[in-house]
Amino acid sequence: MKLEIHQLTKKFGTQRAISSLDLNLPEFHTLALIGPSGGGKSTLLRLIAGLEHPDSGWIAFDDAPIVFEETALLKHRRKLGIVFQSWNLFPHLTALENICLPLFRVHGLSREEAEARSFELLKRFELDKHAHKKPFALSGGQAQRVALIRAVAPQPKILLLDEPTSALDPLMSAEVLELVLELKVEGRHFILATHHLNFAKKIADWIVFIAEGNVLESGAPSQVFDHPRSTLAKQYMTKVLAY
Amino acid sequence: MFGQFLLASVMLVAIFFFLSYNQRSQWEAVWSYRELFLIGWCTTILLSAASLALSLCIGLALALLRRSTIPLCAFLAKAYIELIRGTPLLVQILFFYYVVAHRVGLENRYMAGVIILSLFEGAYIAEMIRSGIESISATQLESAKAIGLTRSQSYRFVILPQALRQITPPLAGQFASIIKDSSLLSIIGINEMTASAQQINSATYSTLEGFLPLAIGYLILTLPISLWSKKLEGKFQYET
Repeated sequence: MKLEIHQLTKKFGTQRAISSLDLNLPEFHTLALIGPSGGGKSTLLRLIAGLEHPDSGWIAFDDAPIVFEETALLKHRRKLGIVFQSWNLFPHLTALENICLPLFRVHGLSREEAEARSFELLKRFELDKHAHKKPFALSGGQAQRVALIRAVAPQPKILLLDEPTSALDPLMSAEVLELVLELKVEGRHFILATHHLNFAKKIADWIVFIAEGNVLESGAPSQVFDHPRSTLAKQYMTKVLAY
Repeated sequence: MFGQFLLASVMLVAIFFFLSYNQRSQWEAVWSYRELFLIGWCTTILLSAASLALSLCIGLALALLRRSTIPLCAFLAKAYIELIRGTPLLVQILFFYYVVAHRVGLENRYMAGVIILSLFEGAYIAEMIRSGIESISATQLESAKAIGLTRSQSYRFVILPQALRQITPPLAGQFASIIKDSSLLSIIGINEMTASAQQINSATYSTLEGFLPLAIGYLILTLPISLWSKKLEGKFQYET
């Protein structure tokens, strides 16, 4: 998959979250966005997801630029699977209903087809005994895995994960990351924002380090982790990997 | 529930007997008018049910207008709500019935009564629905967007079902208010329960006797509703 970003800027008030960002990836499979909090990872991911409008610049997937206009964005979002940090699921629906809702209402499956596919996915990831539980009865890790399955179920072109484990304890994080790895083996495309550097190293074929609203490093994992060029990236890696 | 009702009734009866201790009471005379009272009671129920349905529609429309992205709509809805909530219902009944209803040629006083009551309760219900919608966090709307739902689908499948759970308990409480507020409609000659009690009192030359069944008649309607509302509150609290 090809991703091009040109002179992208996003301001919140006077604060520049993304500042004239350029990125050119001729081919990637799994892209990990790393960097300090508040550096612009989430904002970039949300712009790519079509959940925010840029102030200037453009983004293109496989040479097709994203059109930032509501009808086009709706279509764009329907080709993606998006998972946030937390509170993804709808609390008034069961796990199964949460997965069914977009299949049935957005992607044109019949109710039976949607239920069959949702249940099959829950079963494959050993969550079938929780199918009829509402989110409040699930653990954080279970809920986040259901959210991942909901994002995967419509077979999106690409999955966008915004720090999917940052609200979870280590054991639950492991459960979720395991599922992400399994999805990777299946051959899904990912863009993932994460603080788990080791995980990023393991899963990604391209790493982008973002700080102060800009790309400071972009390259293969070995290059970015072992030979970072910018001092900011160097400091960040040393600090994070020290513990 | 039954215990509370019993306690309230016993207290009422005790107060009445204390007040009418030295007077010759007219209970037989009042009893002979029981049919009139029952008709008034049914009228109260019908008026309140019709007003509940209409005020829910008005409330939902006002709440959505209030959240409209068009500033004029939002402003007008807010102005209406403040106007209604800032003036007494009695004043509104007199104004709408003697000024507005006559001007527009609305002669049926029952219909006028339902409309006036609904316009009043609708303003309160609008604020409940609005706060219900706003209590559903922005992240829910965003999640709905992220899975590809349109704006109207997001409201239909995600926001409103959750908001409705939140506002069912206060809404049930509001229904009890509608029942009580409908007593004021007696002022424009609607023969609901309060009006029948007044008629019975004047027809039997009694001062108090008609008001005891009146109070009990209202309690029979409002107590179960307020208890049901409390029960709902507990149930939905657990779920979210």
